[in-house]
Amino acid sequence: MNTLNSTTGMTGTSSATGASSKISIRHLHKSFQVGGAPRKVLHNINIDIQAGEFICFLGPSGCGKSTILNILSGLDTDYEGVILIDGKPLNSGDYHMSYLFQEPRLLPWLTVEKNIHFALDANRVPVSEWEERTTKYLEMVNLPHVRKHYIHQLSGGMQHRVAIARAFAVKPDILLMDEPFSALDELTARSLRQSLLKMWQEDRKTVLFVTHNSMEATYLADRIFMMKANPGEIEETKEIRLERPRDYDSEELFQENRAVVTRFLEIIGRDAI
Amino acid sequence: MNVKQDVMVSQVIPGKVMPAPRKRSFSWLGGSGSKLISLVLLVSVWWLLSLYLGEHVLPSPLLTVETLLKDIQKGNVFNHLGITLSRVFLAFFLTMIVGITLGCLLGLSKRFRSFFSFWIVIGLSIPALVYIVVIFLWLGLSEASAIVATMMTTVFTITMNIWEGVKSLDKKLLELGTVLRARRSLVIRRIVLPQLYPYMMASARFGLGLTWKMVIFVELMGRSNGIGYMINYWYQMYNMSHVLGYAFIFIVVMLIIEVILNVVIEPKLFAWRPKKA
Repeated sequence: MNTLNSTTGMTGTSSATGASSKISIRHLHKSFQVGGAPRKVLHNINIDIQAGEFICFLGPSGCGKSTILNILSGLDTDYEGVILIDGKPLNSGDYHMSYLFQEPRLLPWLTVEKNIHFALDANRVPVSEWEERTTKYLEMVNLPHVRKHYIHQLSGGMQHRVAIARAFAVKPDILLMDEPFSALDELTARSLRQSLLKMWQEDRKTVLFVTHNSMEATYLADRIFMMKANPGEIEETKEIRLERPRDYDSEELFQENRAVVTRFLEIIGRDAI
Repeated sequence: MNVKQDVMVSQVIPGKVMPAPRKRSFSWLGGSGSKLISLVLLVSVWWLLSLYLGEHVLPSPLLTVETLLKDIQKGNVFNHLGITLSRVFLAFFLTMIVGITLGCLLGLSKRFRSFFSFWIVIGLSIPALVYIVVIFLWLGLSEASAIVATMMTTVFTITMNIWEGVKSLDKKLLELGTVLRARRSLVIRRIVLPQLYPYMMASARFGLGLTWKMVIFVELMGRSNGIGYMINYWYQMYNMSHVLGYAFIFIVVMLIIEVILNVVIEPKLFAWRPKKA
């Protein structure tokens, strides 16, 4: 019963307000066994994230950036260190969390609206609010007309939009995103990034966004945590002071990105490319 | 290959008109038409064989139905049919419950699996006849032993099938349940069961088919009523037309039930699946 058991023992009552949470991570270490030998995945991660901040983790593959999200989401419970959400230990507080995976992870046997209802049900949102929230968030991702569609009837980009709507519909205090747009074509990814920022600016969630795309990170983030691999460590924090709304094709963004890339290459070493 | 090339050409050159598909002969009959022809052919083969072999060895379709109608008029057939059907459904129902429970336990509990999986393998390898004989010897020629014997012949195959289904549960969707902090009942209803339905449906179809054949066998061995008993009775009398009559009505009823299962219930369960042309 291991796979099902991890959901029990959580409070998860509705906090109703679209608030966001502050996150503190102290001395986070994680290693696992590879062929009998321990391999260090994360080494001494110490970060403080303000409520409503948009954070990007930028790093090469294997640097443990997804592992941080898995630990925060409760999928990975095997770690050392202290994680506080609004001052309370992880999983003990009354907060809502959404996780956008690399794939949309929609339930194919449910229609679009039932998929959103599922998330609302899981977060114990009162049934009376389901209709309104489903309508609102499907409109925000420009998909009001696919409510009764099954998932296989949607294109890849549309499926990601539904996943975004589902993630926002539970009004999360924290939104975790693990390279959600990396499998999409650039045009679709751009329009989804734009939708994401628009929605984030309406009700500021704390967002933790994992990517290996520096341009994406520069466009989205308030702060970028640059990571290196073996073991995974945060080498530098870069603040992006560009005004919002940002323009993906603007000269300032381009310049900023160049600075990010230069620094990033110094961190991971040129031979890694 | 030709068809494929046609399609490709029509994609490469926009505006090119696809050649109209050639009309199939019998297309006015549709799918059910060809099935009807196939059925008529089957009955004709039966009839021709009966002409060749003689009515004593293989009664003609007409004689079989006539005998059946006479038996029905005497009032015994539906009585025996009802008894057999109730045995089939009781045994089937219990088999599914036990099989699904065992399959889920094997799939989800490591401790249960490491301890009991060997038992299931042994259970699978024992021949049906051994189960029937042994259970009749142990529990006597009773109704309960008939049901238990039937169950034993089917339940382990169902168990293996469901176990296979649990093993192939999508871990990524279970993770979704975890990060959404879904309570367990919701995870089971919305994530686990929908993935098991195809396995349950396949098990049900297989289980029902095997159960009703086994019930006939069990009735023949150790009950004094039911279709299996009557077939055995008329076999002792060397009367083929009665044997075939009883077999015929039962097969027809079971076929109808299986069609209902396939046509009515299955499309409802799997409405979400993409429809293939």
